Amino acid sequence: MTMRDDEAAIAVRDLSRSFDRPDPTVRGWQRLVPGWRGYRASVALHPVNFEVARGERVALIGPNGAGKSTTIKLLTGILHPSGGTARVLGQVPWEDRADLAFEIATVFGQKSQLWYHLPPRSTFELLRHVYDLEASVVRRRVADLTERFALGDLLDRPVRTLSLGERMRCELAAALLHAPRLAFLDEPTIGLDVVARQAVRTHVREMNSRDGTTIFLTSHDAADIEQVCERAIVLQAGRIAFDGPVSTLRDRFVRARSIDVRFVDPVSAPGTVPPGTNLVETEPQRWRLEVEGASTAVGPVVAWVIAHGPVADVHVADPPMEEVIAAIYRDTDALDPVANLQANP
Amino acid sequence: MTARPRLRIGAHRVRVLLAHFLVNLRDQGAYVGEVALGGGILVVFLFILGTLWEATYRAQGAETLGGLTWPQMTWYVTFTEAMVMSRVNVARRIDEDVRTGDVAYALLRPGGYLTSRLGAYLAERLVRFLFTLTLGAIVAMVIAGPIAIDPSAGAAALLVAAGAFLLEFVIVAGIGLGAFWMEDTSSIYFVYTRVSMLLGGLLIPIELFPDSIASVARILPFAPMIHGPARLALADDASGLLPAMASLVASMSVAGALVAVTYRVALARLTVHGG
Repeated sequence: MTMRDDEAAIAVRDLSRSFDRPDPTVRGWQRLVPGWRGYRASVALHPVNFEVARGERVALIGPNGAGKSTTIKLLTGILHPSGGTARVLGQVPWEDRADLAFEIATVFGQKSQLWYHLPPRSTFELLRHVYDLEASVVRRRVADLTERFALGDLLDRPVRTLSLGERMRCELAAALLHAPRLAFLDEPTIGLDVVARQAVRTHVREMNSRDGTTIFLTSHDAADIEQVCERAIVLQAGRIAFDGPVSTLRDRFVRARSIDVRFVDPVSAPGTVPPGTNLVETEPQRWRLEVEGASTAVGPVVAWVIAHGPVADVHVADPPMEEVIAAIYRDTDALDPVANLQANP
Repeated sequence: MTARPRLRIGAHRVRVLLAHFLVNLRDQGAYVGEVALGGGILVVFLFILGTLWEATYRAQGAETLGGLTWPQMTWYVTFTEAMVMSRVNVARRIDEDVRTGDVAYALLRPGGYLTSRLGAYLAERLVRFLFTLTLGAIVAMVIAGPIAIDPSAGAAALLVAAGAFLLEFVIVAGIGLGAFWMEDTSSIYFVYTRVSMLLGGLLIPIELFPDSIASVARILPFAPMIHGPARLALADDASGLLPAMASLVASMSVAGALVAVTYRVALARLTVHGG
């Protein structure tokens, strides 16, 4: 995928960032010696390249310390890079941060922008001035957001009286008030219950489909990634370990898919199994098999099973996304290199 | 999108400042208890100070001290206490913002971080000042009785008080920004408040200071912030307005330049060095 940098929502070219960290081997008094700095350069982000098209929904995932926060800080302009460049909505974020701020939205699951003792409407009024919006435009926008997010009377109740889910809906609506073209969502569902998490994901998808807002999401929650995003970028130790469709991430990573079979009548255990297949459990009327890797076709295995007797039910399951992500966090090398759409330096 | 013209940025900043001021004004309703507690302490202070000054006037057998009668002295300390007790510890809030990283998140919104902090400070300070001044006036009335205040001098005093609020924000914001380099800025704020109370004329008007200390106090920015508005309120006319404002503007120019440089360096530390 190649597009002009000013056409993409985000275009990153060899972007890197290092930090000076105190050198633990240098003692306090040694830091006073001229030229003996006592600091070491620590690489948070190796040169990375990626593009995000306008209207795309992309997840940036990786374990703690992988470089996600550094990437977001660079893309929002609150951090300067050590090397490379980036364009966000056609602007260089660290040079045009003040202008870019009018075009983007940032939602941090653990940081609220709503006033705790005041109704959300007061925050909306403040944001109207912050984003330099006409009163009539805001009135229309609030009416639209109220309908979409089912805010109703929530707008006039002090935020402290709202549930976490209600608060998050108001938080998202506040982030959308200025109709941003790009939204950075950092752990937007953290701390929410199942129902509220689901609602947030639905609203984020809708924000994308209805307004065309580009979504750049970071989350440790597998469901956020799976249900909201179409593409995932996996960061590991400051390098991109994977960049491709979320579905590919799972398909490529599948080490073993399971096949649960329920027979109509009891059948005897087979002597041998097809290559790349393990028989994990056998009961008179039920077998559970594991098919290794993504390369082993499931069809012939199912055909082999059916040949042993009439089948009442067959269920083929991929490992849940949570397991896929956990495995990525444990060891990025486990990924099939073919799936790595981007070569790392 | 093209960059916004500077004039438009300035007008936008003013609107954002006003919006922050108004939303913080509404938010102050949640902190009535805190303000009332400060009011209780003020009542005790004023009774003690009024009694002490009464004893001093009696012991000296003086009709006036530093050009003020005893009732005027009681009203003087009422005004200076209102100035000091309405203080808002912006340094602590900025310090927290730096430490928690909230300052970085604030930079993601248009309008400027210090603009939002100034709006919040002015709203809180105004509410506290009006409350302490009103309560203090009631206590002064009970202790020393009413005094004649020239309306133009009173209005001038309020103008100087507003200027003093701005100057104090600049100084205290500068202390808070120290958190980019220091582990804890509360000790500096503590020293600032104590020195400003001593040299600003909180308990004793500058006119009664020994000459050597008075000459130092007149150079420093503390007296124009505390003594200045209180003394002007008790003056016969508003002729002291211009010198008082000139003194505030001079202090603000120096402090403002220092804080502007500090803020730029702090932002560079955050954005270039990563905080």
